[in-house]
Amino acid sequence: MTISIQINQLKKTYRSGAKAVHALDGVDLDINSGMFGLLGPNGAGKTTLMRILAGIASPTSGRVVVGGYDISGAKNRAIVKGMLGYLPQELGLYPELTARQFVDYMAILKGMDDARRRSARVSEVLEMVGLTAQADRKLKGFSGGMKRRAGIAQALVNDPRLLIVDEPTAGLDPEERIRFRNLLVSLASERIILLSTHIVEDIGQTCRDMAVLSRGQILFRGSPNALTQAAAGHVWTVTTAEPRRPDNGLSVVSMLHLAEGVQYRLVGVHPESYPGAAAAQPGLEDGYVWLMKEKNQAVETMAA
Amino acid sequence: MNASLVTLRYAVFSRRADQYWFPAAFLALFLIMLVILRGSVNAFTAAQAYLAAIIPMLAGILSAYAVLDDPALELMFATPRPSWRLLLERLAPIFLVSLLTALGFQGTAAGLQVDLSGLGNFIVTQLIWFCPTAALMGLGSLLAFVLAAPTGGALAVGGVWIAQVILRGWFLTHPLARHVYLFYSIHVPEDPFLPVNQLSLVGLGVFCLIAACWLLDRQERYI
Repeated sequence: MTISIQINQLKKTYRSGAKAVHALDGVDLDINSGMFGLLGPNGAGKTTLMRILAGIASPTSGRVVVGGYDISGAKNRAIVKGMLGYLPQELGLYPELTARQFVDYMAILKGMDDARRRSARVSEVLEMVGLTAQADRKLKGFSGGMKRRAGIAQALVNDPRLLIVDEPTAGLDPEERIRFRNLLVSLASERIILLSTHIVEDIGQTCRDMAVLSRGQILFRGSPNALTQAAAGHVWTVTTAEPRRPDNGLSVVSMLHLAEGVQYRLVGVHPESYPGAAAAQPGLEDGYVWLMKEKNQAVETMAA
Repeated sequence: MNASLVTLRYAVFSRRADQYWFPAAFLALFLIMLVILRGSVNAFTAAQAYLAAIIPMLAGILSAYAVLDDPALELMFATPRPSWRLLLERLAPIFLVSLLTALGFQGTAAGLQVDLSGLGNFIVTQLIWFCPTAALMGLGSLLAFVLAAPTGGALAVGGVWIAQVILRGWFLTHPLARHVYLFYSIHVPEDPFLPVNQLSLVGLGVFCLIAACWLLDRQERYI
């Protein structure tokens, strides 16, 4: 059975004295089964949105319906939590428990009381994340990647219809990142997987549907391909021996030191000041930078 | 094994080790005092102080850390476990430690032939530590949630405990305050108001726990 998420005019404001911060400012989203990527800079409101969907934070206003349940009520929130797997950005574990004990504990908290079924499922998810050999080792001896895998194992233990993973690849080495992304994709056919990240590559490699969130607002909703194509005609490469970085309204996406100088990859309206600029095929990262420029949002590029 | 027992086992093993060393250290300290003071009237006073004052204080302080010090708090909040159950499961190891240290202390005292019969019969002796422990466990939990900070809660519980130690005379004579005086059973054990005081302390603990559950439902305050 597949589920869907409907988010209407979702707002979340944090108040501290007279100061108000609008973490989410009128978010509208419909999300269906499969991998859904939520991309945005740090502080965009992604974690707030994830926490609201996980039933941990309450919206200031707006409506969120998960699998037909409006999560504004405590009873519905509990039902949604029962179909949820959650891997938070700051993953805290119990160092004295083994991976098996930790996942078993989380399974109990998720309401899996039948010891035999629970034990089988715990072994199954540890196998899925490749931790069978380390299942009886204490978590305090695990590497960052192994801890993340233990985290995803606990998230999967109740066979969730909705899996929320917040910045899951932060701090992982390239091999762990690839393994983690592949694991998520392999799980996506039967559920919604909501992947929140500020790493563009993670979205491009895994999602067919995505949104860009910045300053609490949705700036883009569509496929990674559509975001990439939005930058078509606005991406150039310039090779120059000048020490000064290209500017004139252009954002430097990357730079490469070559024998003849420095090759810059630029995104902007037009490189008038650089007659030697060559048009380049856009990538998802270029699409993201172009979108942020178009929407007058600050973007952390190399020119910033 | 029953899921509740497994949960208790995990709740015990998932806590930081210092939360067990702390009560163990105080137990050892007071047992050493018993050995040194054995045969003198001060041994009885030390035993009284340990049971009626130290055990409740430790339980109150540890209760402030019971939930909010959990490293996997956000994961815990994302489960459908009701707040009251989360709270009780986290407080159970603290109560268990209090129970074991209280009984262990009494057993060792008996082994050392320190006469604790002045505290009353077995049930009365257990009420001496149980009632203030219940009150301070509830208060510790509640204050940690009110302040959204376990250390703040622990300090506040310590403050209440010290205030009651210092203001003994006022608490004993005030017609209302004496009902929530933590050390009533050791200062006026024969007083006819003692059962009322003990009931009030347990009632205060239960009230604080109910309020703590209500506050724990506001999960985003603590992450």
